[in-house]
Amino acid sequence: MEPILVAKDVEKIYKNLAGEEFYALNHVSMEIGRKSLTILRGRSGSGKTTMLNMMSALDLPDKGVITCEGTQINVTDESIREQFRRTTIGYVFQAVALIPIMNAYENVEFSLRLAGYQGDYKERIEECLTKVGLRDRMYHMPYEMSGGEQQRVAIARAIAHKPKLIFADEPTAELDTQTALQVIKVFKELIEKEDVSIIMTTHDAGLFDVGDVCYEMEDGQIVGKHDTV
Amino acid sequence: MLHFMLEKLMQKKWMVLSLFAGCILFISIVTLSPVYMHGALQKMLTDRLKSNSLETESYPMQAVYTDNLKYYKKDPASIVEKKEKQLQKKLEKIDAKIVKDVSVCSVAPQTYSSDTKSSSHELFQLGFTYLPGMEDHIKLVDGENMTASYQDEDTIKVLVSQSAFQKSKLVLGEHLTFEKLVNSKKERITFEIAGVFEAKDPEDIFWCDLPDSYSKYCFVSEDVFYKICTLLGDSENAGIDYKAWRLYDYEKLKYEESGAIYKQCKKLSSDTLSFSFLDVIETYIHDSHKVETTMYILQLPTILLLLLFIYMVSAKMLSMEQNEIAVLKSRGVYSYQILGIYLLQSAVISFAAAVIGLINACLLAKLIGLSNSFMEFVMRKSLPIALTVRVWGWWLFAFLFCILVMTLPVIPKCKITIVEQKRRNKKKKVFWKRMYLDVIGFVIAGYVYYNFSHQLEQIRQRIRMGESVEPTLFLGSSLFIFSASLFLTRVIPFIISLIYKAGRKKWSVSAYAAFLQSTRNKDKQSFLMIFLVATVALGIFNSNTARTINANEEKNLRYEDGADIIIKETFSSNIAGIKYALSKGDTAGPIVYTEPDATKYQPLADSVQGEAKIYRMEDITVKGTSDFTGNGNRTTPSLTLERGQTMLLGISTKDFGETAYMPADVTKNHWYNELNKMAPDPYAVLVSTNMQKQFGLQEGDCILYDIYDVLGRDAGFAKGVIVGFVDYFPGFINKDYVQMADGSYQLQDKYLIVSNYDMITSVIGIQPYERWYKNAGDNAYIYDFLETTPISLEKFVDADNDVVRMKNDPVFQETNGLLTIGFLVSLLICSIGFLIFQIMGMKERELNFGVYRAMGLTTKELKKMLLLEQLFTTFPAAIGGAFTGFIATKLYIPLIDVTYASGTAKSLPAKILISSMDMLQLGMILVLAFALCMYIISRIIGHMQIAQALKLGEE
Repeated sequence: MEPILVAKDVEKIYKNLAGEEFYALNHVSMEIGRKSLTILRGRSGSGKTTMLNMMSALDLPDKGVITCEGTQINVTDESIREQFRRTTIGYVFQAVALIPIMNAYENVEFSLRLAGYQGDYKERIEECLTKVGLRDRMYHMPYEMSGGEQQRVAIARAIAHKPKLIFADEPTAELDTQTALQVIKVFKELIEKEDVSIIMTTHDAGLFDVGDVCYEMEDGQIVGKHDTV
Repeated sequence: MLHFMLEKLMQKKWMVLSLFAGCILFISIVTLSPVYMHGALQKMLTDRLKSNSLETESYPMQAVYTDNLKYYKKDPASIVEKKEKQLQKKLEKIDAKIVKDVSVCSVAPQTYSSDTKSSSHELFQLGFTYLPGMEDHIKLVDGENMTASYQDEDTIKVLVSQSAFQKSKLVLGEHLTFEKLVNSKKERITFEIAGVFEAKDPEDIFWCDLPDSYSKYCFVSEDVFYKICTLLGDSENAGIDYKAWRLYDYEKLKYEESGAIYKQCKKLSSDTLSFSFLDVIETYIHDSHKVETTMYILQLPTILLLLLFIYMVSAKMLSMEQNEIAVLKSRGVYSYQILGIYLLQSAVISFAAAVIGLINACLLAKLIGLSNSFMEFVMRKSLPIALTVRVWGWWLFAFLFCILVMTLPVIPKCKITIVEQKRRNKKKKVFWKRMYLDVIGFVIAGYVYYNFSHQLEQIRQRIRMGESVEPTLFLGSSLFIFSASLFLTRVIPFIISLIYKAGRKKWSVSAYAAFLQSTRNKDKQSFLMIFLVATVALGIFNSNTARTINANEEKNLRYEDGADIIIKETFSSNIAGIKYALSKGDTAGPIVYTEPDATKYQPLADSVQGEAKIYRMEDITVKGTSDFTGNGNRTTPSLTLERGQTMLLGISTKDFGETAYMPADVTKNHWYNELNKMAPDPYAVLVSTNMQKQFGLQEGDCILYDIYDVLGRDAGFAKGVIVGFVDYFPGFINKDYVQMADGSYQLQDKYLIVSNYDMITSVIGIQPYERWYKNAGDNAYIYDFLETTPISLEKFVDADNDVVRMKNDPVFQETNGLLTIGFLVSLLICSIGFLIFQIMGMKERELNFGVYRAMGLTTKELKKMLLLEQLFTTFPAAIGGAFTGFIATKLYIPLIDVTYASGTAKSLPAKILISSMDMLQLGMILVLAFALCMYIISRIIGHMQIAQALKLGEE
């Protein structure tokens, strides 16, 4: 099957405090398959979050091409990237990053509004929250929920507008192992039922075998790829 | 610790700077009151004493002792000496700097025989006066000096003042003898009028009584004086008229000591001992209380606002540091150590602010001394500024209070560890919402309004009687404004959330986020909202109060004067002859006045816009006549007005209309209409509305008014046909306070009749009239004219001058100065506060913005969202503030205005004046701050890197 997202020779150069250039990403190429869970694993500073930002069009690479279903997304036209972020992808952030003034329901609703979702909001929101097991906590504010619950709301929000890709930056970093595994379980179910591909980063060595594909990163390069499928 | 603190301050330099600015303003405004009060009250005291001295033509601060010392069969000299010592001892209690002591002894005028006058002149009398030390203060106009000591059988030479010389028709070298004054050979002693003197310098304070007042006395030496006393001493009534003055240095009298001195003097006052300054100090003490109360009350809202600002900024800084505190706490730092850091930080900021604040307070006090009107200052002699103990006390208080307000919010925070910090329930309502402080405030403010607005007249009377005003009268407005700001902060988010719910489905992404931000985050934003409402409302209220008070006072003064310039020249008349005839019991004809040469006023014609001759007569009686018209069955109203109740104005309508001052907005119809009704008929009169209402008069009714002359005799009467009624008329005061028998004041109606000038002349002949002028430009011409033209003035009024005097009054100065400062301060801190809050708020929400952007919200949508947030918070707050300000104006300014009108009954109705210029300025500054804020925010958002924002947020 044709991959949904292809990154080719992606380079990103940063300057450190001394003014020296260093490669945050050094000729990284990657293919993300449809209905798959891809894991980028590495220590902090290995470039995995940078790569995620490039693929999710949050940031622009200095070199290389990233295409999603044949459309190049690493373009300077901000509006194209915004459109891509709004409709095609969902994002789960490391530090939960729910919008604090909105309750679970509204957080999900917001993403639907952004994407210009055409269906019935209420039905979809309830569906998504049910999928992450939080239907009964729909009207709770973020600060009234635990870290794991918040993260699950973030996931519900990310999938609500039926994106093709979900990017998750260290979604389990602040969770205990048990909760982390729950989140992964939710991811797997989503891939099954929602027809999405999920790309997540982690530094947790214990999680590398839960994905379909696992890329090992170090110093801005891919140093290993495990296919578990 | 210091290093940590400095680093912390540097990181938040903008917040620290605005906190610093807030502290400076707070400390200066608190310290301002004692600084200004010292200067203003001192100046007021000295000025009052001086002007009293001008009015009474005596030294500003003197004690006067007058007594008749009986010395029958005793030594007169020792009696006087004993009295002098007694008096010294008595006056010792008065703790004021003595400038001079003067005393004079006299024996009452005795009948004398003269060698130059026939025996028919024997009625002439002359007394003897001994004025110690007079030789240094006199100038001999003619003749030679007095005899130094008594020599039996010698002729005694005496001196007389010029007035005695003239009035007693004495001749230089004239020899006088007195029946009882005989020498050892029982021959009459000869006194010779040897010399005539005048004061070397009439301004010399030695002359407590000027030489001219001794017109029935001759001056002799001490030795001669006591010899005379001894010769007269064989009668039981023999007495010496002893008069002593003690002059105090009024310029050195400190206002703080005036109260104590007043009490001492009051205690010592008796029939014989009087203090010329007692009344002045009494009214001064009363007025100075008013100055003080007014000061505190006017300052209060500004002080509250500044406290709110300081608290708001420091709480904001603190909320940004909450995590740091929690981390420190978790690492084992004690609460008191954290408190210590904040205490040190507050102390450093407060101290620096206190130093600048003190200087600033002095400058502001000087500025208030220069204030002339709202937002207007003039150059005049600046106030004496001194750093008294009281100033330092207030300064220290402000300094400590500043520290307290800044440190207070830290106390609960420094107990929280990082774990608790994360878990903390943010949902708790702020205390004022829980306590319903806004509702309570409204109730009290409403009570104040209801209570006082129903007894304005009583308040006016109480003020008139010297009672101080209840401060709640003034606090009502502040309370109303602050309660309204709390209330609006509660209500606005509620209304916004209703709007949100009403169109929930339709809102765009930006509006959706903005609505939720504005309604969910209300406690965080409530401070800014309270602050915005309060500043806008206070700014408007301050401006309106100041403008209204100034305009009303000035308008009233000018109206009561009647015209820009009023000159009344003394008319020569046959009054002296009439008085003489009356005193002998003869009948006498009417007083006939001779009109002074009017051509000398010709030069004024070019410099004035209008000129009119006016009769103003207060001593008339009015009666109704049977000639009442109207429907047939109407009976004659019992119109009878006693003397002194009615003022009669005699005018020539055209000249009067062109000259007199009449504010346009007090009558419905132009007052010219009334003048025009009067013009065709010489008998036509206008009558005040209060007379109409009191006696049920109608147009066409006839009245008779009787005019009395200055000797109180009936001078003639005239008939008047009522052609119109007037509420207000230039120079007409329709109510006045009359002191009752029990000392209380009662407001009584005053009535007015306006008649034709020529009519009055035809009835009682030409009378002394007033010349009214309307200035064409400034009023300098009139002073040039008065200087170059010899006119004996009976009355002179310069309305401009009266207005200037009003504006120099400390109460007015501080009102204008403080309201201006309050207005400027509220503008300044409102802009700073707004900017700080918005921009800091943006920084805090950077992670959120990153999330929004990552989710695909465009920069444009983000900006739109922020703009909408302003529309849902700032905009309604500003509008609400404006409404609050105008409502407070409408409700409370009439109450406050009363206290400024305590001196007079105030003729004109108070009109609220709203300066559109001030409103525009306020609006412009708000818009400017808003625009700047939006610009900065859009810059921040424009430069935001999403990935970086997210990363920053994670940290």
